[in-house]
Amino acid sequence: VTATFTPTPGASALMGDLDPHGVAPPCALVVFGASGDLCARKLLPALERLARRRALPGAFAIVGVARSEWDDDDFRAFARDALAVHGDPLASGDPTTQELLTTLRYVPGDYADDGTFRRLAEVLDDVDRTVGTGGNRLHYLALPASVFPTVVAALGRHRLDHPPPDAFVRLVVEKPYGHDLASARRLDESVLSVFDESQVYRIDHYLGKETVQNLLALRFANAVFEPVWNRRYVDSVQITVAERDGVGHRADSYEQAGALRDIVQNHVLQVLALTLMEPPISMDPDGIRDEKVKALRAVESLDVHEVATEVVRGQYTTGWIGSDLVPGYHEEPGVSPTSTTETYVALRLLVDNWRWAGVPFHVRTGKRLPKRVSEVAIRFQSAPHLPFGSAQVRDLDCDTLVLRIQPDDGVALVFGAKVPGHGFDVRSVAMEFLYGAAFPDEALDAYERLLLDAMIGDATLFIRGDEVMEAWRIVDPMLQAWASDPDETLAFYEAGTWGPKEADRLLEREGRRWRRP
Amino acid sequence: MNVGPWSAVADDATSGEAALRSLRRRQPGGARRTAVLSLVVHAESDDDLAAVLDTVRGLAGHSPCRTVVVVLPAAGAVHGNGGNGAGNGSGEGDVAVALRAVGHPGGAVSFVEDIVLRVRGAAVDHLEATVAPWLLPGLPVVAWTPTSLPRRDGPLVALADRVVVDSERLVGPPGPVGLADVLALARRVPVTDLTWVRLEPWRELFARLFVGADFAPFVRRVETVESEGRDLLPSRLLAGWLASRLGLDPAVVRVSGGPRPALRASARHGGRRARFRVERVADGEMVLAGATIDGGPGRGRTLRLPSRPAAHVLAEALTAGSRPDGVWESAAAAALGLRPD
Repeated sequence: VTATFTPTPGASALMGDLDPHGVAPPCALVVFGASGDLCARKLLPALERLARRRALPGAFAIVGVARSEWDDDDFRAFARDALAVHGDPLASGDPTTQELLTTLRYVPGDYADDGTFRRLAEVLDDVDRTVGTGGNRLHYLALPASVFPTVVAALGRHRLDHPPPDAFVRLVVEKPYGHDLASARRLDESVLSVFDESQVYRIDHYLGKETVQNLLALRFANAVFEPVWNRRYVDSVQITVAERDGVGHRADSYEQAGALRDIVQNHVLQVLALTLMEPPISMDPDGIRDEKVKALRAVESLDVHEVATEVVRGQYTTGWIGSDLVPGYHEEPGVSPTSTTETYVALRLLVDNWRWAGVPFHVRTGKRLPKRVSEVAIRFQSAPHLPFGSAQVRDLDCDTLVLRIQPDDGVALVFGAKVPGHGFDVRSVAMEFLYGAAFPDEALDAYERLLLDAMIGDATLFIRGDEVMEAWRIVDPMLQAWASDPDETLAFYEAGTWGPKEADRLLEREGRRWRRP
Repeated sequence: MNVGPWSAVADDATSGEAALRSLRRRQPGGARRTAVLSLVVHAESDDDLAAVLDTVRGLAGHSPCRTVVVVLPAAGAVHGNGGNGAGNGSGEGDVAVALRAVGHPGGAVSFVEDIVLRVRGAAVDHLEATVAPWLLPGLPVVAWTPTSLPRRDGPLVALADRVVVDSERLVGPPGPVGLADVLALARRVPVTDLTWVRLEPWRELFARLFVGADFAPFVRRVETVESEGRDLLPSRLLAGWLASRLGLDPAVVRVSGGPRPALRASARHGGRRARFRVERVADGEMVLAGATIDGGPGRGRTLRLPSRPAAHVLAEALTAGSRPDGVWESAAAAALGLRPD
């Protein structure tokens, strides 16, 4: 064997085969709202898992900013407690976790106070000097949207939006991005008055889920599906995002949001865009996001007067889920007894483009439904002619391709098969594929994936500003119609059922019915 | 959970497959088979077989596959002289099949199949024909030879899309073959080396030391490399990796025995010296990964790097595609030119 070598040029010479997706460069993660629930429940556990996977940068620091009058040690104690409750139980006492905790710094202060940001700048300079984070910053707004403009403006005033040469500053923004189209535009104006769009990473954790990404793989890596992925073969598409839980500890924010803003405007419309979109030219961030925007632009705007016939909003009442009698929405702690906030939405959308013209997209989401399940069901047209008697195909449904996002993410194909025996009865059968069974190794959780992508600078799974505006454009007429008459438009359903009768009628009137997920 | 097993004395794949179908039907709703490949394993003895089955059973939760274990002394099948197997010449063999259920998070259950073929007599001469009917249609075939290096023109290599070996167990002294033999096999069929898979966290930690504006310029300016460890082959492979990726003269690369594994490099750029190291800090699970620039920033992390169960290492090897691993080949080729102290 002859040992001849051609060294790979550049600093990536050693990474080559190790991590083709990229390696997180040194950086300081600045978490605004560091004493809050999101930081405790999601961000810190995700960072702990990344540390245990050895995926965090070699030079890394977490700088928490919040109003609580804490010091570094208090923040570390908060993080330790949060990880004890929400983190990996196996990691307790692990040196990797202990070392992560030592990277934590804390800046107390009000977001309206310039002193807070002066102190933050000093801490970041110190972190650069002592840890070697090289001026790279990832500002994470784990805050209510109402505070975003204040923080963003202060970051601009204190030049914390400007990276030094060869460094980066990025801004990660949590949902909700506005509460309607007008407020989203105002928010975007204030964010983009300081940051460039390329620096802004709008997060929707749904896009971090493996199966949502698998939707792209299924569609664009397989020649067998794409030819039938259009109006010629598809009868209708059903998107279901069902939650078994009630409003839980989120009553405060949920009362302001409701199911339409909480789930449809972001998660559902993102999944819809991935289902509708044309094949991207490339899998780079703008290649995919350009196609998603085009797809969302093609979704018809409902007229405010059409909302009553095309959209159903509902609220759960007391009912049984399994063997538990659960309270109605009005009886939930923190919920007003006269609340008209919707906990359920079902709607019918049409898409004005060559591929999807005339195909209805039925969307439903709700709390206190019989089980937690999210799926996209592509329901295909019936065979043009069935050479069987009607009794023989009594149990035959239309062919359906189901992409299950959670739980048990996978793909199922429902098709007709002959029942064994002398007769010729044909009934629907399901052929299922579980991603977890074929690729059982633990995948990155959504927040792990998105945090890592933001550090690496891969914006593919983040939402661009024009996508957000298109999503608000679709739901805005519904918000307007409901605001004018909230009592009249609200239907009720028992907890543990699949939603109000009105939602069934939405499909029955066109000869269709909801699939049981 | 173990369902079955069904077993029989035959070398008939048709009856074996029928038995597996019957076992699957007995499960409520029918047992779902999820497999991404067929794994053909060569075991030279019953002791080997026990160890293989132990590993394969740990594998099921990580990389579902149909496992076909061929029990045959090495001389017959793999290094093979053909026709000299330990059989009675009748062409018969024993077949045992088993269906096993694997639980997944969320409660889902999938099923995998193990097939053990004890090949005797004339079957030794046509091993390909004996094994081929058991392979899952349309899926890749990976051959794993835990204790031997398969012959380049042997039946396992002919069947396989990829071969998994463990060079640390094979390469002498005291092992029977040289690293050059493993590389020669890789010219015939893509090879995944389990020793290389075990080294990946070390390579990853070391490579990451050069990430970032301060440290990246030093990667092209490495002047010396030291690779230490009780086991010389992994140390040679790590040193060979750095030598090949960075185009280093073998004279500046030192490989030596030592109580604890360590990989160190020294580099000079812009008049400053930087040192990079990943080393086990004690006889335990922790390693220290650090980089310092004289008069500049430095960083160090202590990380848990436990030795992984054999099944996990094999599962990781099986997730690799069928492409030749050019980085390993270059590292192994460079390692051939390094002489341990």
